[in-house]
Amino acid sequence: MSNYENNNDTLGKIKEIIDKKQKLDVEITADKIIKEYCIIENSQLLFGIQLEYLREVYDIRNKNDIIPIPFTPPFLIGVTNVRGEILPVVNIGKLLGVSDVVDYHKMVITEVEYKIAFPVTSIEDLIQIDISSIQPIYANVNEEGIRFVNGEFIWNEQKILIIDMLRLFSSSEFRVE
Amino acid sequence: MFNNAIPQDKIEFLVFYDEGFKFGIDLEEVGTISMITKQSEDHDRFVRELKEAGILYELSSLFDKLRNNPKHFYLTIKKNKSPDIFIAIDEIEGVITFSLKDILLVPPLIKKLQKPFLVWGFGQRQEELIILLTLKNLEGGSYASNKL
Repeated sequence: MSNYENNNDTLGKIKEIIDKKQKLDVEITADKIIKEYCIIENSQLLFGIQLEYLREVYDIRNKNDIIPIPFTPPFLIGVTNVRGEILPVVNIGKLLGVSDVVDYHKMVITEVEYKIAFPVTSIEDLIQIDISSIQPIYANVNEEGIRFVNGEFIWNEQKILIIDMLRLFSSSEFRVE
Repeated sequence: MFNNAIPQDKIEFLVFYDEGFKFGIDLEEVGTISMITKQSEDHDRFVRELKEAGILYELSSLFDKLRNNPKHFYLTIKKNKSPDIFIAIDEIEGVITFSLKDILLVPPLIKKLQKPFLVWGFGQRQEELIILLTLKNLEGGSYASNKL
């Protein structure tokens, strides 16, 4: 067998492998539902918020930027003024029952039916997640909070609690007329 | 004849400071303003009597501030159906008139979850926000004293 025939044979096999892989890639892509999430950190816990509901992130300059409101549930820290718009400020850790602490330096503004602000320690990353890789929750989320969580996702060997913003806004606590 | 009445789309607020925040309350809700020298026998007796009657509120405790410094000023809030209540505050600034269109109302979520309804909006003046309160919904009695 000549070198020319050998090369043709090898090229044919490579082409076949590439075709198979391309076909496989298409199938995998078709099966995947990829969503983009913003990973936020609050007091050493990580949460994922779907990017389509994220409106704005800014630095908190003064702790008095959050004005406490008495006689409200513990997860509601108060309100904040964002360019003349008064927004409710929610402690995400307290809402899910995973942490009471709020160590915040940034404010994350989200919007579904209306806007809500989440004070957070930091913004970790923006990542794409195949939603089939979201696992059931093993973290210590309480019964009330579990309603607002899609599940867990492992990222950089750390657990991220994925927030279900649609369920949160349609819950009895957050639904408004 | 000169008409001193405030137009209906405007509200006069008594503006005061407490624990770093600035508050405003509709003047119509305010009865008397008492000023008592702190750390005096009169002050201690006055506060003790109000506490025993369960009609003293300290805004700092309502707003989750741990400091419970003695206060200089005590406002009487007029109540129609229950005994008048007193609120203890640090300092009075004066009276400000806000047009209703300049008042930022609390979001519907706060309106829904705040029970009793206390903070209803914010008056914006230059860079600062004045927290607008209504104390009509606060009751005297055991509830008030439990808060202290």
